[in-house]
Amino acid sequence: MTGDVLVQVKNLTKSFRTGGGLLHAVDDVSFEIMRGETLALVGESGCGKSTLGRLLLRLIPATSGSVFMDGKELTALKGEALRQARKEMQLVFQDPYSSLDPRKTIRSIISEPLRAFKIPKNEQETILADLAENTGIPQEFLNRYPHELSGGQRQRVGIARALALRPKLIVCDEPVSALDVSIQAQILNLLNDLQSSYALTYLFISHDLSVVRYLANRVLVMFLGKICEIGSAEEIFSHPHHPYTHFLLAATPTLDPHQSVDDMETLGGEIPSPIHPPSGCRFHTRCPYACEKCRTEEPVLTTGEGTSGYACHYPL
Amino acid sequence: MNRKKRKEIKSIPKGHFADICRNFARNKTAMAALAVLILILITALFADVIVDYRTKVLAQDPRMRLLSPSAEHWFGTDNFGRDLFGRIIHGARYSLFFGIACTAISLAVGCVLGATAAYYGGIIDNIIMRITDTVMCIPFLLLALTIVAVGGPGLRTLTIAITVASVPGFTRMVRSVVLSVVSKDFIEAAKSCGTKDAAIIFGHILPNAIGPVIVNCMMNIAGIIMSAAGLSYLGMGIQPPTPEWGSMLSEAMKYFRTYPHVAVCAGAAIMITALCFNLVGDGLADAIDPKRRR
Repeated sequence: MTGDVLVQVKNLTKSFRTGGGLLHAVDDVSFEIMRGETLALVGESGCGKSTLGRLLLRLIPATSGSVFMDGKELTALKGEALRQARKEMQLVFQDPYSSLDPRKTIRSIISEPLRAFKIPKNEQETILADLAENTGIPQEFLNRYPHELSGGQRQRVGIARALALRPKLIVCDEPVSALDVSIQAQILNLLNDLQSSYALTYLFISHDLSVVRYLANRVLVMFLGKICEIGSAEEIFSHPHHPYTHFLLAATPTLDPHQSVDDMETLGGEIPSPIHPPSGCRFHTRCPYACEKCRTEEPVLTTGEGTSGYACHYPL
Repeated sequence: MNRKKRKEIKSIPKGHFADICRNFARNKTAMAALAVLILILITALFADVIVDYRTKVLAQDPRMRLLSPSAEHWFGTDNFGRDLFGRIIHGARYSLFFGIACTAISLAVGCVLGATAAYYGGIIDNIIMRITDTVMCIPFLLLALTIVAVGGPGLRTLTIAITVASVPGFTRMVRSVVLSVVSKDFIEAAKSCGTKDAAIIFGHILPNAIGPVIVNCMMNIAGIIMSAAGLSYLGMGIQPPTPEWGSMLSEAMKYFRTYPHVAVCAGAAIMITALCFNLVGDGLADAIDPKRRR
């Protein structure tokens, strides 16, 4: 960690027009990703994690706000300039089944980005061989089709494709949640190894806190399109400031057989509608510590000690 | 086994098309159906060389009426003493023309409408699909009959009637296929790899959408051959003495109890042709989809 910023997100907002009104998937979010770190993005389903990941990669246009990468404003790019910028950032998908074109061979899938940027044929072969070796894909798999591979092997192909252009940033959108546990560990180790050998920065989207604890340097907790808390993994896991983070951690199942579900501190209620978010602090409808101020006044994300912060009037 | 393994490693994937052909060739039923279809196509193309239209197919001879199949008349003769074999192979021209021409036109129109609806979505999608739904509410034969009734029976009106009646089906099919492919993650992956729009459309969307479309076309040809025959059977299509399978069948029904060979020949011609198109369509579906290959 050199403390140098790779990605800077400023007041990023994305709202979708739906039948019921405007849906604020990501609402006025600002944070930074340091070069070489793994920033984990956690939160429950529907809180805008994946939308935020895709906004960073410019796969969907932002409603407002901006994303800077290496000082370049991605949100202002268009057409060919945007296409060129895609070299720098790639995505690893959650579902290794629908993320590979069933009609293409593995060779063709991994070399797709190379072809898109017209890298000479002979160079493509060397890059391909390297990628296959580094991601643990046997040579003979290259001529096969995706359906002949297992989920873990497919995910390796997805990772190899993402690495092909030697990007700086990789957004991993729940890359292991579709795999079984023994394979999860292999893929996580692979991601870890690749991070050092390819000098990668990860934005790691996940709802699995044990995975996050294993991989992340810093953690960003989202709730209903807003940042609740951001900080180093150590701090978040040992001393969460935001009540939501606290309950998220408390909800993680433990290996203690004597602990029953009733003993666990769990939150009641449902996630509020993102079309009509609650006033004030968005978490107040479910927060046991909420009082009058939480209902009326929206807490601002503190930027106290360097890169950490939380958005709560009454931090723990 | 060792050699086999080495071969697998060495073999560089050939083109997608060669792959499909190889897989199709392995399917015995589909190959047999294709062979029959080619035979029908060739006899239809060279029908004039094989049997003269004027003297054998149209000229009537009361002395020869309703003869059973023999060496001279392979399929026997009809109630006007015309050679049935000649009439059947000349009739293949009409059936194949309807099947292929109507499918081609409605596919072209359906592709444009369906892809436009799927790609733009919103209001455009709504307008196109609601019109399609409305047309689809009218039963196929009823719509075709109405158009023929307005335009008068004949080759041209029949073509228009069948085409108009099958466009909504194609529009809906193309739209759903394109929608399902576009929503897949690999399209987003291709976009994030920097693949250009044209390459995504021709490299990913089309190859993944073409399978169901081709299969549907094949099945549709079979359906159209039967509809054309059906309309002619009802007297709304090709008029006698032109040898059309449906009108031949209609006429032959009068003699079905005493001379069944006439109706059987015309009916079998319709059935075999339609069946073969269906089987080839099915075989293509298997060959195109790598998941269905063994």
